[in-house]
Amino acid sequence: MSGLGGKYAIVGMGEVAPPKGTLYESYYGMASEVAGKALDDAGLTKKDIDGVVFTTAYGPPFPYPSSTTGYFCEYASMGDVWFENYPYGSMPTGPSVVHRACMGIEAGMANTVLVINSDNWLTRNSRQAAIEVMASRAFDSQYEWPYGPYAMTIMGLMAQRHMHEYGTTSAQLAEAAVAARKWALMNPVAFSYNTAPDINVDDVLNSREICMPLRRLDCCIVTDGGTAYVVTKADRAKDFKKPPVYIQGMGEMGHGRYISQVPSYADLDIAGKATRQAYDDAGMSIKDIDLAYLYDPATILTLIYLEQIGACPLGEGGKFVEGGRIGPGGDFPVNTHGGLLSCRHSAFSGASFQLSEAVKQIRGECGERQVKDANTALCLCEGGWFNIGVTILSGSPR
Amino acid sequence: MAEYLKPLPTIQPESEAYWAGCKRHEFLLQKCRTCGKHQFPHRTICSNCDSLTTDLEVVKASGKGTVYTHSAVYRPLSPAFGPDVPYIVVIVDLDEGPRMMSNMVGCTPDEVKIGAKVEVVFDDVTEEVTLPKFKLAE
Repeated sequence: MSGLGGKYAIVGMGEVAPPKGTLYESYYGMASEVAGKALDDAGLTKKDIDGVVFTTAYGPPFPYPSSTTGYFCEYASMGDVWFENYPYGSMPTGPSVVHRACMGIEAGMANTVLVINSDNWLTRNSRQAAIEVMASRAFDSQYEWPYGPYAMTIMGLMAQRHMHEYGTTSAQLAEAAVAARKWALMNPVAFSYNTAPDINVDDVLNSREICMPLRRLDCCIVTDGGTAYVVTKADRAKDFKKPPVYIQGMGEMGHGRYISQVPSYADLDIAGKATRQAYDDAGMSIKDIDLAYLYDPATILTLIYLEQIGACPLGEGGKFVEGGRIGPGGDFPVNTHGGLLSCRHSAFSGASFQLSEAVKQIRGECGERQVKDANTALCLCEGGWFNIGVTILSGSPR
Repeated sequence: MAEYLKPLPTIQPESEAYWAGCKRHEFLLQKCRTCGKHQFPHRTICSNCDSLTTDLEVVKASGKGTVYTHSAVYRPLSPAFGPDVPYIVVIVDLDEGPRMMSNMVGCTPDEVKIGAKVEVVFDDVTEEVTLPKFKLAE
């Protein structure tokens, strides 16, 4: 438990979300644009910022990926700041990168921190290259990669085991894809907002085989995209343009690096442990959660994480999602932006759209997909593989 | 031998014995002289012992195991894997305890079941490198 729950808040948020068919050529250009949006949202300029936390993607365009934050500060001419750099596959992951801003402020290194997750992942890689680059870095180069796995293979291996242990069905997995698509069709930030069709369970079951038992519509998309945040102390949080969103709980737990050594592919209990840290930090339980944002590179993980956050007992994720329960109008809204499955997946910054959406939902800015009276959200993300970060947000101060 | 375009292992000092064994068609694990447990992947220390002891020996293993989970891959990692589609990625729990990733060979996706007994076979993919793979046990 961090002990920092309730002490910090998000007071500014920005998103850059290029639609399908649009290229975004400049990596640092996107990072700077999204940073500017977050500053504007908070009513600040770069002169008000004394800390920067930035995440790094795989591959080009920088000679030293571990220096990404330095390159960004150079590009945006933001000097005399405390900064940190988080490479993809490290802890923290996605939304939980904001934890590092809180820790930096708590340690006295800064007061007002800009957090950026941004990558023109699709533009600079192409879809095939993105899949191969990620696989080349995400798997053990001796003991895994020679056998031809990529991210969705892992998800297939997990789905197969979950089905074996708990009787989960392909139709239940499909429910997660259907819910994500229905949310995305109401979200202008989603990659395929105006172009992707509505889908049903049969569409998922009839889509082409990828890594069995997973089919095309069980798997995420590849896109560009970025989000950014301004984080400061909760006692200053009302001094900005928009209503603050308080960071009430943080959990982080890691286990290592290689998927072939994960103890259980069905009971991913490290996610449960990280979630309990965040609940303890926030003084909350699953009963307090209005919205859940769960890392969903494939449908199986939505089900597994629903179990691990306590929405349902272990093994009952499949039954839980039946009947549109996590989709629009359902009683347990999950990934109201459309998730990685249907909103966007832009490497590290992909899951950060969980956090930008949670901020917008809590502020009541989500238009037709707004969940009524949503005040508390849980974001859960993993990185490289199954190192977990959990963030609990609320519109109310502690 | 036709040019091999798939990824090859980046052999490290601690795994030289393992890959040399594969080349001789011997499946080798490490065994800790302190706790007695077998270990995979190969390391300089025992990952089971809290002391991180280096008192390890390399031993010939049975090459037998059980399917923990599997996935038939229809969309290949890269064009080099295209001719193999559907290829089967498998996670095997070895009889000695450790878990590893590999490919199933000599069977169709429908024939692979969780819990199936498997045994190692050696695929000499290049003159220098042999990959251990698995087939359904007799």
